[in-house]
Amino acid sequence: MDNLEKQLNNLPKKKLDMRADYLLRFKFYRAMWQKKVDMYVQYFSFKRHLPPLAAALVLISLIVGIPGYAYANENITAVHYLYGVKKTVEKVELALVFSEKEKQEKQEKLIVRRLNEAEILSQNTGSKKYNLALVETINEAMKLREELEEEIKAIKKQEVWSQNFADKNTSKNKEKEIKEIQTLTQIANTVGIKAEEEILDVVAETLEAVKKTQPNKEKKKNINNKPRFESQDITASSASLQNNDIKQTINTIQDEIKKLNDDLENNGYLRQDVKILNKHLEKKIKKAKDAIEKNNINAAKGIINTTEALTNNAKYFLKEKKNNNSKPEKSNKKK
Amino acid sequence: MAQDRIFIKKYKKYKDKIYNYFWYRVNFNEETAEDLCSEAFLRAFDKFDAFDREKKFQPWIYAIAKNCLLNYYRTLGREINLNFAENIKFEEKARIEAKIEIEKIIRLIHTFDEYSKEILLLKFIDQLTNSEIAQITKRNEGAVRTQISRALVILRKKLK
Repeated sequence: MDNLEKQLNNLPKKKLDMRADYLLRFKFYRAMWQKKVDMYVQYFSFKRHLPPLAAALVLISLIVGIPGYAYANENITAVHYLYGVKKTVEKVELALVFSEKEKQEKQEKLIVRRLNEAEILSQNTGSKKYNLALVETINEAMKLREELEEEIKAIKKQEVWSQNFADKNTSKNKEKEIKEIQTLTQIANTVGIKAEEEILDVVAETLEAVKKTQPNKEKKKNINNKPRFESQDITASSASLQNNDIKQTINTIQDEIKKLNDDLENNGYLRQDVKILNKHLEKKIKKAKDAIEKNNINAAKGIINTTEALTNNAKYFLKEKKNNNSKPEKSNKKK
Repeated sequence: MAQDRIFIKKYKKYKDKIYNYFWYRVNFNEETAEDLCSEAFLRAFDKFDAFDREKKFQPWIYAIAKNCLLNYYRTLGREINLNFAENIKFEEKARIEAKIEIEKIIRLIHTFDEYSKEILLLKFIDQLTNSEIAQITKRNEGAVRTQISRALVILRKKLK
């Protein structure tokens, strides 16, 4: 290395001033701390946790909201996918009740719910699915009603039923039964006489059953003034006796059907509808006769009960000739 | 964090070198050199996460320093002037530190073209090797060696 290079290597070199050095280091450490703080803030930040929080909230609202929605919504009927959820919530509600009074109230509430659902379903009886759902819903309402009546009977037997409670309950029951009858008649009117036989049968039978339980009314007797067929069970010895009774009943029913047709036509109901009703009733009579011939007394009894129910409640299924607002005028015309 | 500690180590090692780098190129103005040094290292700190640890730190920090210097010249609004040697004003302190002889050499270096001046300063002030200079200036190592030789020959002539 020559002199020049030595001189060049010895050119002055400065060191960074201490103040500037520490200031710069301070800036570095401040930036490092800021990074760490930002990291922790980001970890616990709302934004970072927003997706899982949102998902959790949605899930909770679904878990809490869907059953609540299903339970409260009257439009959720047997054809709806949330119907199962609704039924489950109702079961839970019933299970959580401990006093008899509250349990009865809940059961009555359920009966009303089923009938309301049936009313909604009756507006869509074009499809098989809805028809089936309607029949099932009304049957369920009937089943609930029978269970409730059984429980009330049992309580009465136990002498737990106080007179005071009985009086109050009777008047409340009356109101409820009137409401049930109103709902059922509305269903009958909506489905009409052209509905499927199964629907007609179940609605007519339910109406008949509710009317039967109304207080201060005589027990419903059959047309022959004989007691109605309370039980389907018959003993072998009384089979022939029952057989004769049934045949006689059928004959009487046929006469009454003729009378009913005249009355309905004269009372302003559509002739076409009356004809259809007539067809249904004749079909049932025929089935009853066939059942008797086959010695199937129980089946015959069942058919006759259904026939009577339809006969007694026929007017609710029929459409009037005139507008609904105006009452049908009684015609003097006689056959 | 580990990489922050690594950076601090690198800073301690190269802070004086980078300071000198700026000091010789900003008219020996200490404050400006400090500011530029600070700016260069802060930039390096921000980008250190992306720095490839496989590569050497020195060429990287020098490249950042060069960019800071160019930005400084741009803000001053002057082009890189080849002939501002006469305008070099040594600060009093620097004048005392540098002997007259050396002051003459420094002035002569600043009369060279930008490339030769840069190479000489990197070689003798920053004490970089030819390969490191080649990396910074993005030239061939052989070319760098040749240029240094030529520059020294011219310098010797001028000093005579």
